Amino acid sequence: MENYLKSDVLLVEDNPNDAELTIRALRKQGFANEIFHVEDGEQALDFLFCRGEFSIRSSSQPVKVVLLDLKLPKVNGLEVLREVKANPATSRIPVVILTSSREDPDISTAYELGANSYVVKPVDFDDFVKAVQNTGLFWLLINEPPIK
Amino acid sequence: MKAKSDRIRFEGMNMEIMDRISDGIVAFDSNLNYTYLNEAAGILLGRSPESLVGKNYWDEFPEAKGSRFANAYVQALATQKMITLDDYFEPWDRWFANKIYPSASGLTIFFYETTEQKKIELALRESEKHLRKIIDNLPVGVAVNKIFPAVEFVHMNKLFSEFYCVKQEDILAPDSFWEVVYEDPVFREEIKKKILDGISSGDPERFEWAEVPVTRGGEVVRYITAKAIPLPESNLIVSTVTDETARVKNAKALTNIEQRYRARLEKQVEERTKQLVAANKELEAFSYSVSHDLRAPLRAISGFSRILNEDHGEQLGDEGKRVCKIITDNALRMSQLIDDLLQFSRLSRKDLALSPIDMQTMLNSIYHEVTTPEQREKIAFLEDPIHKCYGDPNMMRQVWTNLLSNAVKFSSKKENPVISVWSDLEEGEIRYYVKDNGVGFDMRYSEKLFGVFQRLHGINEFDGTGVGLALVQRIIHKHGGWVKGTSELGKGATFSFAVPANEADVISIGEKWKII
Repeated sequence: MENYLKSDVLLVEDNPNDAELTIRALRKQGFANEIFHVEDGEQALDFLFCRGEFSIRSSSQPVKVVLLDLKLPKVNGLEVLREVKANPATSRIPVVILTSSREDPDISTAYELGANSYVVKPVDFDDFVKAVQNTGLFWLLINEPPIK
Repeated sequence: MKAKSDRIRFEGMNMEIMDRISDGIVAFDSNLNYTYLNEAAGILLGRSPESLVGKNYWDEFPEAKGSRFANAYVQALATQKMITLDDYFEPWDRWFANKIYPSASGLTIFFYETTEQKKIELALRESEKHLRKIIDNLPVGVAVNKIFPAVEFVHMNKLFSEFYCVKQEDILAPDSFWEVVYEDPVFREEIKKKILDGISSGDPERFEWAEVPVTRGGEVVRYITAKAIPLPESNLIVSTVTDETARVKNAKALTNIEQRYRARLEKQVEERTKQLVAANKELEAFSYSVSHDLRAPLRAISGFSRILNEDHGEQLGDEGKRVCKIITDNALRMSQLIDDLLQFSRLSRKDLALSPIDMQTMLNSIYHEVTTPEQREKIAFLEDPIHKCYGDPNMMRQVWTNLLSNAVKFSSKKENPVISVWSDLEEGEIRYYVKDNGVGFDMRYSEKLFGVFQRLHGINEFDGTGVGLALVQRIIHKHGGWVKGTSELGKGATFSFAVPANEADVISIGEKWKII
């Protein structure tokens, strides 16, 4: 998708199956065109900081929400979260941790680093879809993005 | 003429006096013929004076021949010198004290019996000998000595000087004891003060000085314990000294051994703890992996079979759809199993976070959690007030959740499900009971009740992974209690669990299970 110039959602997910299911769920909700998918932490950072292969992106068009998985190759989810939230240019972008892990240390660390919310991906597909849709619904439609 | 009669009168008076004296008086002529015996002499010799006067000594007392008495008489006559003789007359087994006065005409002997005194003296001497022997052979150094104004020994046994590492003769001079025994002047003053103060205090508790070191050439050669026993009505004391060297050395060696042993043990414990902590960390990482990585494929299985269903339902047909559903259902079930297993494993690694628990409130809140309003309409929930207890609230919530949801589940097929909960306090434990009138279980398999993944009902009868009760048992065991299940097939089941009523007991058991 070359629509990375104008994306509302950045999906950072290394598992292609999970990515496909997530995108499918969001698509059902009508957000098909606005999802950009990267598969590792490095790409995520490049995208958000408009550098590397994404240097033509404009920082004046930030995404409305980042759906971030924690276990990623190269740079892991928590690292991405840390960097995004530490940098004033990107700190206001809502980051939703979307992951399989319900393990305590990750949840509290994520919140400490500034995650906006933490959603555990349910195994049951219906529940999964609902979770993704509700998340998308909230951040893309209901939530007021921070004024730039 | 008057002189002679005077003399006879005087002699007569003398005779009277002599007769009355209690000492024996005997007069011999120079041939040792008796010329006079007084009454006392008669008594002492066992013969009346009349029977002896004019008789000869040798004839009357032949047994005296060769005795020292006889020899003394003869000697006195010969030398005309006075002899004093205190001696034992063997033939009669008696002692006599004699004063033998020779004169030109013969002998005059003044004598008395000393048998009684001699016997007492002998007994005393014998007793003294015995005592001395005992004292000398005690494994203790004993001495009798003055201590004020100076240490002066009256008697000392061999061990006394030996234990003090001195020669007897070296400490006989008054107060030489201190200098000879204690070579270090500083220590000497110290110990002397201690001993003298102790004795002056008059307090018997202070009459003992334990494990005093005796040094020679700067090295400790002995440890001694000294005691003082005052002798009443004299300024003498009995001093005893015992050799503690072996004991002190052994104690030191033992302490050393103990210390080394303890150090080794502690090292072992440290090692084991490190290992345990490492193992725990591995388990944590493992659980994390499991929880994360196992779920992803399950999600895919579940999700994609759904997609199959949704997007290609027509091509699949009814049978195809049924198959898809089975796939999804199983993925779900596996996910549940993983959750339960993880929970079970996490529980063992968790330490108890103890506090008082209001079981009543907890029970009510959980009942509402595990039931829907519709279910609550149908179920008759009979709860007696139940005891508070001391334990880990989160874990207890799990216990109630599992037991209550079981009760609800297994009585769900009944027309009028009844669940009752009560508790009692007995034999130091608080026991809680959850009873339902559901399908119950076969008591023949009651052993399997609390096994992990053990189920007594088919998956089609009642849902469940078979971990619930195992979890309950784990939790209650961690609290130091027990769980039990009884049932009548078809009529219902009663599950009970107990925790120690005493807070301290729960705490100490919690300590046992503690993982650092």
